[in-house]
Amino acid sequence: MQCTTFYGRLHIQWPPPLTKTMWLAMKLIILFSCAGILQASARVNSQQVTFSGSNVPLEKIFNVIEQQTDYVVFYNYTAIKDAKKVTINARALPLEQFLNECFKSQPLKYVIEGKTIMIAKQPLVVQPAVTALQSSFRDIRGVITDENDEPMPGVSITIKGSSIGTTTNKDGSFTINASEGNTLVFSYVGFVPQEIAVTNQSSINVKLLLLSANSLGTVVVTALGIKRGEKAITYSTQTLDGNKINVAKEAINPINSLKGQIAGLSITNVGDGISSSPKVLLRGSRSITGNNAPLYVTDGVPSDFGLLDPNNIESITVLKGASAAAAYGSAGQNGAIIITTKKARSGKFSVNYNGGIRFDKALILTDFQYQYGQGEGGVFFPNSENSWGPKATGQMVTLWNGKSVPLTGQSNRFKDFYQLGKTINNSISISGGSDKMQTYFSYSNTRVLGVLRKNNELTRHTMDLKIQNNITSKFSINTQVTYGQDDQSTSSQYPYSSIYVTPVSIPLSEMKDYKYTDVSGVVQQNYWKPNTLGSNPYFTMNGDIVKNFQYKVFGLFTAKYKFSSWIDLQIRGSFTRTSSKNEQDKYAGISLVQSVWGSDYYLTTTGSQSTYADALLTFKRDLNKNFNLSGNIGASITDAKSESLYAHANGLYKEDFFYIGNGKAPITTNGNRRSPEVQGIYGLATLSFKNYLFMELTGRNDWSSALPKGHQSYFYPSGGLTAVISSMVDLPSWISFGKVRLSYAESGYGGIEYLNKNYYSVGLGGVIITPTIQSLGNYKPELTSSYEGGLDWRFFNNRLGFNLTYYRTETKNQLLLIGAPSASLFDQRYINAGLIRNQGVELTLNLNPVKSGNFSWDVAFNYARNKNKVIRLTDEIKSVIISGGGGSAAAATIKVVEGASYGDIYVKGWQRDSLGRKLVSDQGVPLLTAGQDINVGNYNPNFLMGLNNSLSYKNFSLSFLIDYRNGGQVISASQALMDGRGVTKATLNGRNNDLVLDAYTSDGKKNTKAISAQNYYSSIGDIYLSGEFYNYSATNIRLREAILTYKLSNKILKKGILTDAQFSLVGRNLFYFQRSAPFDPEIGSNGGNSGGQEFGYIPSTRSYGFNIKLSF
Amino acid sequence: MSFTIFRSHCRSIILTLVLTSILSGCVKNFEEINTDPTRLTSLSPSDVKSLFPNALYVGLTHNGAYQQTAQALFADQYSQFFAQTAPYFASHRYLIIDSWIQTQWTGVYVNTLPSLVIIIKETKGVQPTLNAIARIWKTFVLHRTTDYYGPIPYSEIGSTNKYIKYDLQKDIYYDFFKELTEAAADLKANMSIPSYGTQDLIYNGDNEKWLRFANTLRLRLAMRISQIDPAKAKKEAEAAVADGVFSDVSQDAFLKVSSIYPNRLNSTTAWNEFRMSAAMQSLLVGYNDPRLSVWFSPATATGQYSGVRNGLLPAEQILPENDNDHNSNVGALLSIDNQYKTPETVMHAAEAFFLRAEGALNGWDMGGAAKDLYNTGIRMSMNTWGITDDAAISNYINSSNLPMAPGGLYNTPALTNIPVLFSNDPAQQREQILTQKWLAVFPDGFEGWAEMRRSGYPKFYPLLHSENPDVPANTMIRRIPFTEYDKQRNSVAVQQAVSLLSGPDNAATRLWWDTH
Repeated sequence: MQCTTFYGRLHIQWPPPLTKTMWLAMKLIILFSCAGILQASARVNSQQVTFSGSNVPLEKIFNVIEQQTDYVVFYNYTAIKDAKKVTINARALPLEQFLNECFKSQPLKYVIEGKTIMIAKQPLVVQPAVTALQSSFRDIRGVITDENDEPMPGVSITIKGSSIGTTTNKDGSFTINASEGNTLVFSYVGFVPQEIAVTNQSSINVKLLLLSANSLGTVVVTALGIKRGEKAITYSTQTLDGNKINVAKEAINPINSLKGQIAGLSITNVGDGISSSPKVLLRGSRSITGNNAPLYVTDGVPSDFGLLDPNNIESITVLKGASAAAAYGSAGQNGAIIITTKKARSGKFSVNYNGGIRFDKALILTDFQYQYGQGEGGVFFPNSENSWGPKATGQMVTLWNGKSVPLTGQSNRFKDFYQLGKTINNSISISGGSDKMQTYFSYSNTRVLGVLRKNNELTRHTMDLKIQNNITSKFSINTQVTYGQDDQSTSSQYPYSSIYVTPVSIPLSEMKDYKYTDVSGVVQQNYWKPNTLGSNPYFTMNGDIVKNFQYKVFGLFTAKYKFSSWIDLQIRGSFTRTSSKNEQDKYAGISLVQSVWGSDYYLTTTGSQSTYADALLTFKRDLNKNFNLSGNIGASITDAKSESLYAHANGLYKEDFFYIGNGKAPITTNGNRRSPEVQGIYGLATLSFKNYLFMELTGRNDWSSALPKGHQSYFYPSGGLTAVISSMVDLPSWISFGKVRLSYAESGYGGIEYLNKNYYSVGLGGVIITPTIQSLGNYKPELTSSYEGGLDWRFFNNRLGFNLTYYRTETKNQLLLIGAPSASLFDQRYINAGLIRNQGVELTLNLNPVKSGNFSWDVAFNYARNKNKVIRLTDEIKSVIISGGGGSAAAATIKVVEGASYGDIYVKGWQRDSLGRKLVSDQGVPLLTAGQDINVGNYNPNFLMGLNNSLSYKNFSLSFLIDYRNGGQVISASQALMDGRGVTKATLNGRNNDLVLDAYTSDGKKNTKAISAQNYYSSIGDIYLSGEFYNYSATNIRLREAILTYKLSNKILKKGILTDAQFSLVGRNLFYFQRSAPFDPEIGSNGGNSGGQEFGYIPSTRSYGFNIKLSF
Repeated sequence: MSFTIFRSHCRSIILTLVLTSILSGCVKNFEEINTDPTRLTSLSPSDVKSLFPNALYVGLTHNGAYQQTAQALFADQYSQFFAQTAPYFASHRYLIIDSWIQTQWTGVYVNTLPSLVIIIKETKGVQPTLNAIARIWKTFVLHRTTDYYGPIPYSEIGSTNKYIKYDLQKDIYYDFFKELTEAAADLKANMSIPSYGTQDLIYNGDNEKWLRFANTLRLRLAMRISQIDPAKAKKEAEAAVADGVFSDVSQDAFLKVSSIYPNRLNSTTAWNEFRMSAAMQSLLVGYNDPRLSVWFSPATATGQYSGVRNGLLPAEQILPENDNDHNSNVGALLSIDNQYKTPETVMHAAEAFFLRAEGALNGWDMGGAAKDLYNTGIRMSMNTWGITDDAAISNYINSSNLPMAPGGLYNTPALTNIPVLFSNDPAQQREQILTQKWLAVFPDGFEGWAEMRRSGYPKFYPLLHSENPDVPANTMIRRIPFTEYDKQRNSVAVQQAVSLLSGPDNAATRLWWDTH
C-alpha cells in the first residue's frame, strides 16, 4: 500500500536516454515502478529552451522546462522557498546551459538523472580554519555507497547546525574535518538523508537508501487513465504496488491480494472451489436491488480482472468515492479499481521471469467427534446417515455392505479427500525497443490443483502484447492485445458437506468403491442409505463434475496526437470478447436427488462482447504566474451484449458419454442480453494557485438507452478543493507535508435495459409465457451524491504520515424492485424510491520507525468503518428482501428495512412468549418460528483493519500483514447440517437424554423435560436449520500474509547476465489470532447483494509458497 | 493563454467537438437497442392461444417445480394421503412455512392467471370456445386457492390499485357458479367451433369433455357449500347433473405429460421425503384394495405395505419403523421413472359418482340411487387406475373387510370401522361415500383435505405432534393463514381481509363452507 506525498509537479517521461549509467537507470526504474508512474510517452526529445522574463519565480522556470522539453523537474517546494527570482533571455538554449544560467546564484543545485531534473539545496563547501579551540577536530574519511554497494559521487556531507560541508568525489569518497560530538548529515537528492554522530571513529562508511515511493510522492492513475499528482487530488485514493501482487500471488483472483491492504475495501469470497468469485464492496452497499460492485478499469478502459496475469500488474489504484463516476459514468458510482499493467520501456532489452509455487492446505476448522458411531438413538444402524449411534468401542458391527468391522471413530477420514493443493505459476515478459517503438510481450501459465483430491483443477494461459509506436514526434499509437484462457474442472453438489456428514465410524476402505453394477446390469451408487438426499462422498467427488472452459480476448488501441506542448488529443477504442463453455457431467449411479435422469449432461455456452471508445482532449496552461489550468474534455460510448445457449440432455442413451447428441430428450434454450448503451461527454478542469491550492471541477452528461424517451439525458457534476498547507504557511520543520481536501460528487445511474416494456417469452414447446416483473414506463436515473473531506499529513521527514478521510454518500431515486400484490398479476415491479446513506471514516497510517544504512522498518496501518442507514424506502414498502425468503431453502433471509441498515439477517429461531422467554414443547423440544423472522444482526463488518510491517536488513526483507475484521454476523448451514447428523464435538453433550433446555412451555411453566442431543440437534439443525442457533460473529484476526525476500546484491549480479534476482518465501492466511465462527467467515457469503451465509463451501486454505523473480 | 495560441489550436478543439458529437449524438437507435430481440412485446391471436398450455400446467402444478412446496408439503399431508419421513420439514406438524406455501400463491396469481386473464379478454365475443374453456380452468385453479385460504383477491384480479382487495369466500363461490354456468352455455352453443386443439393438454380440444368437466366442477363446488348454503347447493348440483357430468373414465381429466411437462407428483416422489400414510395403510390394506399395489409399493426393507403416522418429530422420523426403507413408497406408476408418461391427475370421473351419491343422500335429484352411484364410483376409480377385472372389483364392492389397525410404536388402531359394502345405515353411508371418494380423488390432496374439512370424512389419525399452538395435534387443520408474501405487498388489503374470516387469521379458523 502506498499513501504518499507528492513533491513538485511530476510528469515522469519514459524512456530515459541510453547514455546514462545503467545502474542509475535501473534505480530509477525501480523507483518509478514503485510509484506506479510509468507512462508511455510520445514527446519529442527537444532539449532546447526558449524563454525570456525578468524576476521570474523558479517554479515558473520549471514549468517552462517541463513544457518545452521532455524532462521533468523534481523538487521539494520548501527547498526552493529561498530561491532567487530569475531574469533570463534565452533563445533555443540547450537545456543544461539554460539551467546553469538559472542556477547561477541560487542556494540550490540540480542533478539530471535520466529525464529527471532533481533540485536540492546547495551545501556550502567551507573548510574552517583549524584553531586551538578546535583541536578535537580531525579528518574523517569515508565512502558513500548505494544499496547496491555502488559508490555515489556528489553526495553532500554537512556538519549539523553549521554551514560546514563537502561532497563526495567520483569514487564516492569524502574527507571532512569534524569534531567528536558533531553530527554528520549525508544527503543526496532522491535518497533518504542519514545522520551519524561523530565519536572516536576515523572513518564513516555510509550506505544511502533510495527514498521509497512513500516519501517521494506519487502520481496517481485516476479516472480515464489520467495521471495526476496525488497532491492535487481532492478525493481519497489508495494504490497498491504491483510488486505486492506478484510476489504473494493470488494467481487466479488477483483482487484477493488487496485484502487487508486498502482502507474501505471489503472482500469476501463467494462459492467454493479454486476460482471462487470474490464479492467486493467499497464503502458499503448503497443500491438496494441494483449493483454495488465497484467498476474495474484496466489500462484506462472498463474491463475486469478476468483472466489477468497478476505478474503483469504494475499497480492497482482504488478510487473509493463516487468521484470516479465523473469520468466513467454511472458504472463508477460504487468507486473504481484501476489496474495498470506493465508496459514496454525503450532503450533496454530485458527479459523478466517470475515464477512461483504455492501449496495450499485445507483448513478444516470444525471440531468433529469420533466417540459415537453410525446409528440412531444410541443404536447402530447400518443404513443410518447419522452418527447418533452407540459409543464406538471397537465392538463388531455389520455394515450396509455386509462386511463386519469394529465400530471405531475414523479420525483419519479427511485424508482421502483432501490433498496438499498446488499452484504453479510461470510468467515471462520481454520488453524493449527504440525511442520510436517499444514492445512488451508476456506469457504466463498457471496450473492449480485444488485441495480436493479429484476434479478440482484449473489451467490458465495468458498472453499480452503491447506495442507503442511513436510515428512522429507528435503522433503516437499504442496497441495492446491480451488473451487469456481457463480450463477448469470441479466437482459439483457440495462434496465437502457430503464428506463432513458421513457417519464417523464408516471406514474409508468400505466407501472407496463408490459404485457397482447390480445383477440387472444397472450401475448403482454404493451408498449406505439409498434413496435419500445423501451420497457416498467418493461419488460426489468423482461422479458429479462441472467443467468450465473460457477465453477472453481484450484489444485496446490508443492514438495520441500532441498539438503542442500544452494540448493533446487521445482517441481510444477497446473490445473485449469472452466466450465460455460450461458442462456438467453426471455419472451413472448418481443419486436421484442430483439427477433424476441418471447419467446426464448439461451444456451452456456463452459469448459476450463489450466495446468502449472514447476521445479525450487534454490541456495544461499557465494562466499567469500564479494560476495554472489543466483539464480534459472527452466523450465516450459503451456497449455490451451477450448470447448464450443452454442444452440439457435429459438423460443419456449411452451412460457416461457426455455429448449432447447422446441426449435422450435434449432441450435447448437460448438467452440474449444487451446492456444499455451509454454515451457520455464530460469535462474535467483543475485550477491551481501557486501549486498549493487546487480546485477541481467536473461535469458529465450521459445518455442511456435504458431510460425512457425524453429522460435519456442526465447531467452530474463534481467539485473539490485541496490546500497544501505545508506549502502555504511556515510550519515547524518536523512537519514535512500537510494537505486538506474536500470534495463533492454526484453520479447518475442510467437504469436497466428492457425495463420500459412488458415482454412475453416463448417457452419450451412454443408456449407463450407472461412476464412476472411489471415494466416501468417512466423513471428517473438513480442519483448518488457524496461528500468527502480528508487530511493528509507527513511528519519527521516523512517517517510518519497519516491520511484520514470522512465521507458521506446518499443514494436516492433508486430503481427498486419491489414485490407487487400478486393479484396485480405481476410478482414484482420497479419503482423509483429509496434513500440509503453510508458514512464512514478511513484512516491510513505510515510509520518508518527505523531507517539506517542496513536496516529499515516500515509500518502501514489502515482502518475503515462504514455506517449504513436505510433512511427511506417508500410510503408503503418498509422492507425489501434482498435474498432468501421466497420458496428458497436459504439459511437466512437478507432484508433491507427502513430505519435499519443494509444487509440485516433474518432467520428461523426460537419461538418466544410475551415475556421474551424461549419456548419448548411439552416434550422439551424447542418450538421454532415458522418463518425466517428473527433478526440476528447484519452481515457487514463494524470495521476493518490491516497492519503491515516491512522490515529490511541488507538484502533481506520481511513483511507481514495482520488483518482484523470486527463485527458482522454469519450463518453456518454446514455446522447445522453436521450437528443434525451428530458428527460434531458439540453433539457429545446430551447423548444420554439429559439435555434440559433453559426454556418455558407455552403455558408459562419452566421446562423440566430432558431430551437427547439427537432430538435437540435434529430439531434445530440439519438441512432446514434454525439460523438463530447457527449465528456467529464474523470477527476475526488473522495473519493474512508473510513474505521473506532475499535480493541478490548487485555485486554478484554484475558478473553474469542477470540484472536482478529476488527469491521470496510467501505465506498466506497463516493463522488466526482470533475467530468465533467454526469456519472461515470470509468465505461465508452469497453472491449479489446477499451475504452472511455459508453452506458446504470448500474450506479456506493456509498457503505456503516460494517465488522467484529474475531479470536479464 | 494568448489568443494567437488559442487560434492555432482552434482546429483541434473543433475536431474534438465534432468527434464528441459523433460519439454522443446517436440516440436515435436507442429504442431499438432497448428492445429485447428475444421476447415479444405484443401477442397475435395465435400467440394468445399459445398461452393456454402453460396456464394448464402451472395452474395444476404451481409452476411445475413448486408442486412440492405448494401441495406435497401441505394439502397432501393434511389430507393424510402421505406422511412425511424427511426430518427437515415441519409443515406436516401443522407449522405453516410461509416461504413454501407462497409458491402456491404465486403459482396461481403470477404464473397462471395472467395468461388466463389475457385469453379471456382477447377472445371475448370472438372465440367463444377458447373463452369458455379459459374461464372453466380459471375457476378450477381459483377454487383450490380459496379452499386453502378462504377470502382471496378475486373481483379485482389484474387491478392496478395499490392494494387489491380480498373477497368474501361466499361471493367467490357464487361467481364460480356463474362462471361455470355461462361457460358451459357458451360451449354448448358453439360445440363445433374448434378450441385449443393440441394446445389443450387435458382434452386435446374436445369441447364436449370440457362441458362435462365444467359441470362436474360445478357439482363439486355445490357439494362443498351443501352444509352452509343447502338451497344454493341443491340448485347448482341438480343443474350440473342435468347438464351432464362425468359419466365414464374416458372423460377423466388427466394432464398429458412430456419431457417438457413432467408429472410433478412423480418428480417430487423421487426425493423420497414422504411415504404412504398410516390412514392409507389402514384402509387399503384392511380392504385388500386392488389400487394398493398401483399407488404404492412394498417397503424395501420388509416387503410389506406399511404406512407412516402423520406428525412425527425428526427424532421419530429417523427411527427404522418410520423411515423410508420400512414404509411404502409410491408405486411404479407414480415414480420418477414414469414422470414423462403417467398423466397428472386433474379430476377423475369416479368423483362425479360419489358426489351424486352424497347428493342423493341429501335428497337431491342426482339421476340415480346412492348405492348404485357409490358402487359405480368405486368401479370407475378402479378403471381409472387400470383395474378392469370385474370380478375383483365386485368382490371389493361386496367385501365386508374392515380397515386394519397398523399397530406399531404408536399402537395405531384402525382408522374407522366401516366396510366397503354399502351400509343400510344412512349415517354410515355418508362416511362410506366420503371415504371411498377420498380414495378416488387420490392423489389430489387439495380435494382430499377440503372434503375432510367439509364433511369430517374420512376420519383421520391425530397428529403425533403439532407445532402450531393454534391447532392441537388431535384436531384437523382448517385453513392456510394469509401468506406473509401478500401481507408484505398488499398490506392494507390483507388486513381488511381478516374481517372477512369467521375468526382470527390462523390455521384453526374455519372457512365459510366448513361447518362440520
